[in-house]
Amino acid sequence: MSSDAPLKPVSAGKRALLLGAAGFGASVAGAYGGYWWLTRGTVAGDEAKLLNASFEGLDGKQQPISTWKGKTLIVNFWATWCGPCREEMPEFVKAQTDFSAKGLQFVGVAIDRRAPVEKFAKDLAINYPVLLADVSWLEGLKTMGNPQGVLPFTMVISPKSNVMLRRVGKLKYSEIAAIFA
Amino acid sequence: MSPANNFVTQTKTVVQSATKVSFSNALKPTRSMTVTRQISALGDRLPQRLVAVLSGLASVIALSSAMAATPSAPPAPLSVDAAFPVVAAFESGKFVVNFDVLPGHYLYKDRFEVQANGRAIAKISLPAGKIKVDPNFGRVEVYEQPMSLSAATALTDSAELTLVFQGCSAAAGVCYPPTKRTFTLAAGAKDVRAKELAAVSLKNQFKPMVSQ
Repeated sequence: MSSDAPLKPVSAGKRALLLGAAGFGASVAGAYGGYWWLTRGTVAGDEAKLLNASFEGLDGKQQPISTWKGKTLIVNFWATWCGPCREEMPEFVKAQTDFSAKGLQFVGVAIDRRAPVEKFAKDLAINYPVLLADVSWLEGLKTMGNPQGVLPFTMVISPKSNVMLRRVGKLKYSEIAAIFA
Repeated sequence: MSPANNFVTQTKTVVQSATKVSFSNALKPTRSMTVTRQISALGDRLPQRLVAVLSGLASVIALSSAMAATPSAPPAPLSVDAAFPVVAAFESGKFVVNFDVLPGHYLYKDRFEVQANGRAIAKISLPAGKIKVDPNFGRVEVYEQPMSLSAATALTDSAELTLVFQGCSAAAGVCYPPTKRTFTLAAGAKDVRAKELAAVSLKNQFKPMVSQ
């Protein structure tokens, strides 16, 4: 008499369970890995430096970022020497028009010289505040989700001052629209 | 009986019978074999299906969460030194700088600056680049492949060579800020890497292009 015969179905069940557990474990590991990759180098709470900062406006006056507290704030760091930055900005102008009534407020922070920024803002008819930042901000952004200090870099901040999205590279209109859908 | 009730009843039977078998196995092996076979017939299908469905659902939920966390994000950019590895040499009467431009990256031809011992070298010999029609900058010349530049010098002994360059990652859709690298070169030196990368002041690095 073999005692193995009745155990076969049980081991098959165990196999299914193990496979399921392995699949689930891999998925969880993948999700965690993706989250880690997106937030690597990010120091929790460091964005407070941005929220408490003031930048010089094109009118020469200091403008605190806290001015727009309570709005869905999109802070876009850019420069005129950065092609991808210039490419995405027409979509920002459109989004500002389309979602202003729903509480969207764009702020462009240029890490650049005043003259080319003024010209570009005029040429594109930018309909949101454009501010000027010192180059040292590129270093500061490295702990806010932009580890290489490249441009463009955009942060979406909720009305309660929580960071909803950090984007190194271009942000699409459709992604902005999805926030207000 | 509804399918749901039927499922509950079958599950109860399995649990009760399994308990019974675990006790009876030690006492009455022959009878337990019969019961176990009945359980096996049901257990072969039901728990496996249940486990498969549950684990499948859990995997889908986990994968959905992972995908939701990464909404069409472009690939992460490399560091500027990984994207554009650079070495310099001091050959007879000239400096030679070699860039290894990684695939998916490019350098702008008109954004190089070279200084030797703090003095700008106006005449830099650059190879022909690829003409790119940029929607923002019009026709621009870029290097998408490894390239070399050279700059004639009257220096003969040693020199501190300073290089400014600017490039972008087409793959990641980002641009690196103007980057400054400094090399200490003795006459005849080859493949010298930039010194103290971290010590290069970001503010000085930007002076030519971004001083306010």
